[in-house]
Amino acid sequence: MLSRKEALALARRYRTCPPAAIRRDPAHREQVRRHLAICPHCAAEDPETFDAWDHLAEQTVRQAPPAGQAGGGITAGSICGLRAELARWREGFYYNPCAVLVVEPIEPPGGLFLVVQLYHDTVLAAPGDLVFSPGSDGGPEMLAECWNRYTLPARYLAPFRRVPEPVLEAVCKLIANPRDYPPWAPLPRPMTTHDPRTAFRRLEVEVGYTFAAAGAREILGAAGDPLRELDSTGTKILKAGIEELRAGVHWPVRAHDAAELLTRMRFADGDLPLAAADDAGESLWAAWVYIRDGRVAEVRPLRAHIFSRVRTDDELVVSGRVEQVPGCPQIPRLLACLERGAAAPIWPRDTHWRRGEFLLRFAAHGAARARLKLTVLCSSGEAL
Amino acid sequence: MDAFSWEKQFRTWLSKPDTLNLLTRIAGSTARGLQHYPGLTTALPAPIPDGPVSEERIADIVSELCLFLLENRQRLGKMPFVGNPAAYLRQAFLNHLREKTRKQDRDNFRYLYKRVADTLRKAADVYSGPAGGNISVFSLQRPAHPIQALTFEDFSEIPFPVQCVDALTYEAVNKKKALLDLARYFWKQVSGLHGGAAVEVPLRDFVRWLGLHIPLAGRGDRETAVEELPDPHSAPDQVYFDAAAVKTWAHNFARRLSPRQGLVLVLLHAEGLGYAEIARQTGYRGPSGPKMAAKNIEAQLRDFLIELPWVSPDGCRDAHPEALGLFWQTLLDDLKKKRSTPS
Repeated sequence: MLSRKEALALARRYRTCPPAAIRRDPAHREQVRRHLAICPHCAAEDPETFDAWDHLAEQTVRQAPPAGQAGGGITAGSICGLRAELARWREGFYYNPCAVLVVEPIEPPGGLFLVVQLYHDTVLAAPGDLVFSPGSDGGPEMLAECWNRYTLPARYLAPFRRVPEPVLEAVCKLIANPRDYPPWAPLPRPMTTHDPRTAFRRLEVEVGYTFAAAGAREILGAAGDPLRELDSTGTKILKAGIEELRAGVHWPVRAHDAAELLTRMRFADGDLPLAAADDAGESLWAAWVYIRDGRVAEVRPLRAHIFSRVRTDDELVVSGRVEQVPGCPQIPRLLACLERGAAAPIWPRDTHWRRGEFLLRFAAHGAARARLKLTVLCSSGEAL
Repeated sequence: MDAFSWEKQFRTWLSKPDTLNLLTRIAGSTARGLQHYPGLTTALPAPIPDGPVSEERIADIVSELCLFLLENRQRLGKMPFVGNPAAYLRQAFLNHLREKTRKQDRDNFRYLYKRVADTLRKAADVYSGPAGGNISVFSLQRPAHPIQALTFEDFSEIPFPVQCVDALTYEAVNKKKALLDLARYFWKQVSGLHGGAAVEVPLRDFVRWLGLHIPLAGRGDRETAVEELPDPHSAPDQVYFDAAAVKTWAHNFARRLSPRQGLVLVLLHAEGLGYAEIARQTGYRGPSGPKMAAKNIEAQLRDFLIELPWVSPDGCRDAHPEALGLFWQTLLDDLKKKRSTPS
């Protein structure tokens, strides 16, 4: 009999415990020590036993029937493993690379892909997940987390096999509407109170975030940092460019660099469309700034919604969504800060941003009565 | 290479002396680990006593391990993807033993499965037949949606309708009317778990659920239904708990908390102070600070405990009270020690 609780324990080990080779590696000694101090699964493990299990796992994998043929190039429908060298430590846990399903290529062609995360234990499937068999010949099922999607560079991905066309279609439909299950797909049971699947989803978000954030840093690095270009232009010229495009834009306090200038600007009240009166939860106005050939080409307000603000002892975590981010040839960048009157703004320690949704981690000190400011910045040499 | 050849190759690999040596090494250490989990050893032919482990008991574990690898070779073959296969494999084997402690008598299970399939096929208001993956399903509505195999947690949410049978015995349930009434009841319950959707219920899950409430191994030796109701704490993996493991988990969790979080927990739960006083002692401006901190610690704790045996609810079974008590006591003791030790 299957148990979700046991499946969750398995998932946690599979996703975030260091494999034997890492545990043995002196270069990882300090991180491994930290992990053993906080992990309920690894703490009691004796190293010799762990090595034996590792050897058995390696042999079992070698002896098992092949799960499929490598699919050649990466296209929509490819199942890919993230490359082994992407594994990384974060907050005492070792994030092992996961498998993903490529949903669609993103421009520039062949360079970036929108993916959904995969997991192999379907006991943990919940609404929004698609349980499917990777081969037309049946075989073990997997689940595609259609809600857990992000962009990765091609070089992160090792194609493994392809899913049948109806599976890819179903994933795309579930991304658009999490209830739109095809008749052949198993219907997952809705979440219950204290459901282990809720904890599994949190784990999967962390896994996705770990690799998506690394990918985003690389993508931004490759694309060139538009902020650096703007800084070299000088804040005065930048300010004049914005004012020329958008009358009534103003700055309550003096901005010291391009990042402050872009995040701390205010639109004139008459410039802001009336927000829907039935908006549930907290919302604010963000700015969209488009840079072409090093100059500001477009500035306009965008509506943003806050999903959660969680304050811990030393951290404030804010999540939300910027609505209707315009299409852009490059991946847009989110600039965020907490504004505290004339004092220097608080910049996030960590920004997770994908397809309009964001998660920001700020140091809690001084964040109490600060105001969140957001600007979506996109830069390209091409015309919009 | 076809499936048959793979099967043959896998078996050959398992029987090699090197593989056997490896399995024996693993079995030896697993046996020592299982001495802390007496509940799990009921899945083996004989219990593992304290002290040195005999060769026979190690051989039992090697056999069980071979069986586990053979039964799961296809699933395990998906491991090359990525991740931490060793940790996965070890935990999967422990789960395999845990599952075996809950298994029912196979022959009677098969017999009842066939009997239920025949009965449902002839019923006018029940749609039954094969579905994908060679499993049989039934439904009271059409069209109906396939569902995932039900889990331990799902089963534990479906009580047995004692009013549907004269007694909770194999004979009383193994009657056409009783089986049909129970199948209709079970279908409605499963549909309810899926938000009232028309669902295809796997026949296998219906029979498993029956097996949780009626003795499939023995027949007709008990009279009343009440006597037969399963005791939620009688499962072998629930009667015992590993005190050393529970204490280790408490130490692990204590190390995850910042000094300030630890202090809030001690002042709140060990010293019973109010939030205003806690705020004063921990440097928060007002009572909402420690209140929010306590809420966050609680969420962290729930996330930490949810996958661990004994210290969190398991389906409808509550956490083991003594295990949970030991966890709390150890955690608070650790935090108090931390508080008195200058950093």
